[in-house]
Amino acid sequence: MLLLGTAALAAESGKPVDLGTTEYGSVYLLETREEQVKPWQVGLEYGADLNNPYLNVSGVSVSAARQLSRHFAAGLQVSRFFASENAVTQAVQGALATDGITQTVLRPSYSGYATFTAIPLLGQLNLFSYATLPFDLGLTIGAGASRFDGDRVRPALLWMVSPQLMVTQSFGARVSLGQEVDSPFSGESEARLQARFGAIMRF
Amino acid sequence: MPNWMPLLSASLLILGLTAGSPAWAETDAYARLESVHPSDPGFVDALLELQKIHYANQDWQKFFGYAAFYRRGYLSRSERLSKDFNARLISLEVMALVKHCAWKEAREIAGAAVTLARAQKLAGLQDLEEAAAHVELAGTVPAAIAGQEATQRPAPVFTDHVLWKIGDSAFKQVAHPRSLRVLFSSRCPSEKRGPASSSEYALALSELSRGENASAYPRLEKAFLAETGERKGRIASLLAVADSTMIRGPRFVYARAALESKIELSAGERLRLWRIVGDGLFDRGDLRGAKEGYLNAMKVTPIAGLEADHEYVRYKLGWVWMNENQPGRAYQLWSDWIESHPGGTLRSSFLKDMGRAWMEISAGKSGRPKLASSLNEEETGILLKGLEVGARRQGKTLEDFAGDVAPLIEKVSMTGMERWSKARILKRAGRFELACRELEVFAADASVRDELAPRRGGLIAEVLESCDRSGKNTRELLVRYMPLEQVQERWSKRLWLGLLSEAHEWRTIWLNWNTLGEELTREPRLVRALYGATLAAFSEYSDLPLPQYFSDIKKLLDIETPLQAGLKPVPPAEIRDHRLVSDIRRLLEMRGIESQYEKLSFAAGPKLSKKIMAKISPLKRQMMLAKRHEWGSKLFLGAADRSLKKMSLNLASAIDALVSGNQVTDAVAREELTQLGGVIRTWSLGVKSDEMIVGRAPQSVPATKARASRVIDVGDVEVKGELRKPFVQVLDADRATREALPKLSTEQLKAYEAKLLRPEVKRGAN
Repeated sequence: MLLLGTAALAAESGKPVDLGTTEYGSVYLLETREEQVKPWQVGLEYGADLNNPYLNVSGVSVSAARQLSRHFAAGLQVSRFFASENAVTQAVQGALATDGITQTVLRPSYSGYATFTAIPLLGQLNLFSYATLPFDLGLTIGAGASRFDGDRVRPALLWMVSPQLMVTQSFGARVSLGQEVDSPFSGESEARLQARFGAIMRF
Repeated sequence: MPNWMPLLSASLLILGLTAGSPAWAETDAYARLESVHPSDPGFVDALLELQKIHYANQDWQKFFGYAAFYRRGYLSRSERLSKDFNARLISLEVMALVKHCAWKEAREIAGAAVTLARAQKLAGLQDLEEAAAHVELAGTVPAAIAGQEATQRPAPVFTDHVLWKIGDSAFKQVAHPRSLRVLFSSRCPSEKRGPASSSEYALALSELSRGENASAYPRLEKAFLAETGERKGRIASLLAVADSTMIRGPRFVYARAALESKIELSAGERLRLWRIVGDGLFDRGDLRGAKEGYLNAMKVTPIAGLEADHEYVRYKLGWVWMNENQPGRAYQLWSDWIESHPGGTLRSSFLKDMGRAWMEISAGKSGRPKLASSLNEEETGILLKGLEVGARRQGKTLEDFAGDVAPLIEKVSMTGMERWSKARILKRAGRFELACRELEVFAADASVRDELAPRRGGLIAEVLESCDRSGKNTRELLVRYMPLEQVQERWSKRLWLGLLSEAHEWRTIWLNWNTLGEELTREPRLVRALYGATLAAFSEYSDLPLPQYFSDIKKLLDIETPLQAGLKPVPPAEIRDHRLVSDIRRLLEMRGIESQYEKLSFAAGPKLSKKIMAKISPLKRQMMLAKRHEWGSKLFLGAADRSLKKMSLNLASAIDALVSGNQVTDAVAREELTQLGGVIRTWSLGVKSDEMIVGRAPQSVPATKARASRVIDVGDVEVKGELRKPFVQVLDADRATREALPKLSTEQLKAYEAKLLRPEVKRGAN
């Protein structure tokens, strides 16, 4: 009764009744993309450690992920590292060798992770009104293991931020910045900052 | 192809779908409907069908998107309003908002639409008013109407869709609502069990300590659902003793939960909880469960401080047996307690109900037990009251049990009219000396003279006769002590009137009209007797059967001219306005509907609820009228009570037959019907007859009202009634029946939803 009374009051006061003024919730437009979400994505990347003071570390990573939706994916990532002593290490090793001391620096060898990726940002880039390039930014976390040459396998964690751009419907490029943390939550914990770039394929 | 063809074919497909067609039909129909362009004249009709599908499938994102598109895009254009305005589309949106407990928005839209329809004289005003009414109805049962499914849909982030939030300007550019989505979270309170609620429990305890019960108990109930183990038991023990108006669940459920938990309970707590279980189940008519509760309570060791609880439990257990037609067990239980426990707060109730129980014991081979004789005068008086109540329930008086009652009644000193009753009982029991003594005192009591009725006077003479032992008859006694020619006191006039009318000496009355006429006109029983006798050829009046009683009065009501046979006329208005006449009118009206309840049966179906209500309503109305009526005669009140019981039993039996016939498959509905039948079965006018006076004259009896009893809500029908319950109880109130309200409201809302979603075949216009 109250509501009818209120509305009637509005009508009597000469104010036009407009049913279109009541709003609730948030309005969205559904984007109908030409291509459906492709369930699989594989990637091949080359990268390097950015913060290792003793070694020059480079590596190759292979990844495969299953898209759970446009915003989430789960997958695996395996990396093979190649390391060599840098000039400082070589100088130190040479100096110590004269005293009969052999210094050994552990070299990262392999790592493997189960990953989970969230893609909070996705959209399309307009290239000079010539082409539309699907773009997204993935945040990846992973848990797995890493191994240094001559050392035991250690537990390891991973996080990465990975913008990627699709050049065609199936192929694209990705750059990643992140860390691999060996033996986390222990005294031996060591974080290796890495940058990578490479190609991805969706199918 | 004409532009209405897609709409027609889609509608036909939907019709087929509702009849059980495969799922692809929906997809096909949906696609066809979605293909109707907004510029098409049939777009609004297509929109309606699409919205029905969205609503039925609880696809709220789409539903609200389409609703916003329609309301904001179409109803703002006044030039096309009369064509585009669709009341059902708006009603659907209102109901969808109701399902999300968005009361404010639902009211706003319903109110604005009603006003608009009214102002512009648009079609569908009634539908919109109905929708507005259902908003208010749904407000009473928010949890029941909540669109739980809405929250079960995956959020967009877990789907393949990509949604872009847009503002007003972009909204206006949208060509078709198929790509619109509105994300709107339900505001309904979650009925789901929440996570561990230790914080709720702690908060509730804190609120309880501050006396903030109104917020503490709902919090405790929430915690009860979420908790397990000992804490659940502890919470249950708190809820079990809460004020029943503060909690939603029945107290006995919590009491049972507390008892079944492994928490440590003191003897007092166990006793109280079992008592609450018993009371709760007793109120619901579950006598077996109630008995179990009370028997378990009785097993608790009777330590100091718990006497009152033990006393109460025995009292209630006795009532369980009374309801199970085992009055002998009830009497024995109460009698044993009374003898072994002098004092007690319920002693009076025990004594009174012992009297009722004793009266109900079948006088079989072993006979009734001997009435307690070790009681003092006051207690004996209370026991006698109970005996009288029991006797009246059987349509008898204490005089019929004079042999058993006399030893009790002689111990009790009585005054006024009670003394006369006592005298009659003693006389009937053969204790003439005592009877005569009482009668002499009674006859000399000036305070009762005005109370005496003619018939009562005749009966006094009968007692006098039996006391006299001289062989003289009553007439002679009266002639000697109160000669007709000399009588002046109203009391003695009435004695004569009684005697003469019983002897059918109508002519003598007529001859002594100057002496007796005044009394005659004041005494409706005599008027009735005289008129009745005249009209029915001087038929026997004394102890007229009820039909004859009616017949006489009905004839009186029809009299418009002075009576014949030399009788002085009595103005018909005096008769018409007389209380007894209004009693008969009330009773006749009640009996007038009796035939509607004979051979009653119900069949399961969509209108079952309505059919049952159609039978409950007149019955309830009659009961209300009877309860409000000031009865001049208990005879008629009793007759009305029997009439009501007859009808209510027929109705309850029809409901029971429906349930037992397995026509109703829904377990909840069966339970509800069973409960409803149980409640109806208990309806009565609750005739209260605490007076010790036996057969008091109607005119001298103060107006009798049917005993007020607690209100029972049966959906939208409010009736009064009671289980056969004791006068003293710790009640949970009749929650069982009150719980029917949300169910009925929900049914109403579901029916309205179904009406809105009903498919229509509509031919579009070119």
